[in-house]
Amino acid sequence: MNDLDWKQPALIGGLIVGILSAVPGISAVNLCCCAWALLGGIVAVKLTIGRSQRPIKTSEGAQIGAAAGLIGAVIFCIVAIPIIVSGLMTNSSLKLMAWIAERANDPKLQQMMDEAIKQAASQTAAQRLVSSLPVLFVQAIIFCGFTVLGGLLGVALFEKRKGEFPPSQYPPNYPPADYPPPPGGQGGWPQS
Amino acid sequence: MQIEAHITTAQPHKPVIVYAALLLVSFVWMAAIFAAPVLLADGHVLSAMVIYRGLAGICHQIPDRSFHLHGFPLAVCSRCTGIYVGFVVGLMFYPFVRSLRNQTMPSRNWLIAASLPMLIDFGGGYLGLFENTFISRVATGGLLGLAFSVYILTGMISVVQEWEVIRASRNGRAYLPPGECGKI
Repeated sequence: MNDLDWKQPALIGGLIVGILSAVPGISAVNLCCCAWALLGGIVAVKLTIGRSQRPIKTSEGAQIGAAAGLIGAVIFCIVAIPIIVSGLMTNSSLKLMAWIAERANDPKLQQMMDEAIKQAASQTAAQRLVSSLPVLFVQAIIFCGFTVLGGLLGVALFEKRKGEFPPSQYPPNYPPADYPPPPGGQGGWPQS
Repeated sequence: MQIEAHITTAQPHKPVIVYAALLLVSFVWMAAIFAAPVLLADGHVLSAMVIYRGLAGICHQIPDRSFHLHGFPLAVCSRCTGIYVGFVVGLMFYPFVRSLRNQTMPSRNWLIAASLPMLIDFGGGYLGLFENTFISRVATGGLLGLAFSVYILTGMISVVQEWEVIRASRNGRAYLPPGECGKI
């Protein structure tokens, strides 16, 4: 893993996960099984494969996916917090709660939902933030999990090389034919 | 001079543990999805809303596009439900179709082929070419979930085996894959 250039790809994958999952509207693409998180993991692995001279192992794909997921979770929290404070993110939850309250047959449940909607609608920015932190945390963990899966899928999709080794450290015609032999007649040039 | 060989052999039960763990996690995930409407119907509003809001980041949760239980929508839409059910079904049937020790990743063409119906179903509905239905969303999602189960389980078993190799090499031991220990 140390010989791989994975940090920049993981950052790009993390940006895809974090920003696209947090921004209302664009995040709707998550309608397909956490699509942005999967895509973030796949992109991170694809970019690493492009930069690597050797085949990427499945475990490395999972690790790169996990790194992208962690970066993505942090970015997601950073981007989502101002959106939560502004009240944009609670709208979708309120819609679902209103739908449930409308169709609930049980009057007691209806009353509870109505109260919950009223409470959620009248929350201050600080209250919204505090009440959303556990949800944000759960969502960040879910994103990490899905980016790991994306990393696994990325290796399956894009790693075509099987057991190929990186090119030799020395060029094939090393040492050059016109180069004088080493003095003393002992030792020799390193062979590739 | 005595030469001592340190050899680590692959533990044959490791793939079974990975399989069981993934199956357990998948069942818990499915249980959470189905528990949300049940909890809501039983009056446990707070617990139900934690599940609904927790999964809001990965699914649009539009009630009209979701299955209902006890009059309330599941925690994810019909397409996502199809994907997860397909994944669990795929995991359950996996040992009957393929050996758990087989670490060869199937051709990526199968994954692309399995995702095409869902992409067509989603794209056609999004562009207004045709109206997708509950059945089409569940069926195409389920097909992709089935494919995911094969790739993800194979990948996870490979990950555990590769970590075993790395751990063995760090301890200065040779690693023998399953079935090779009898040849020494």
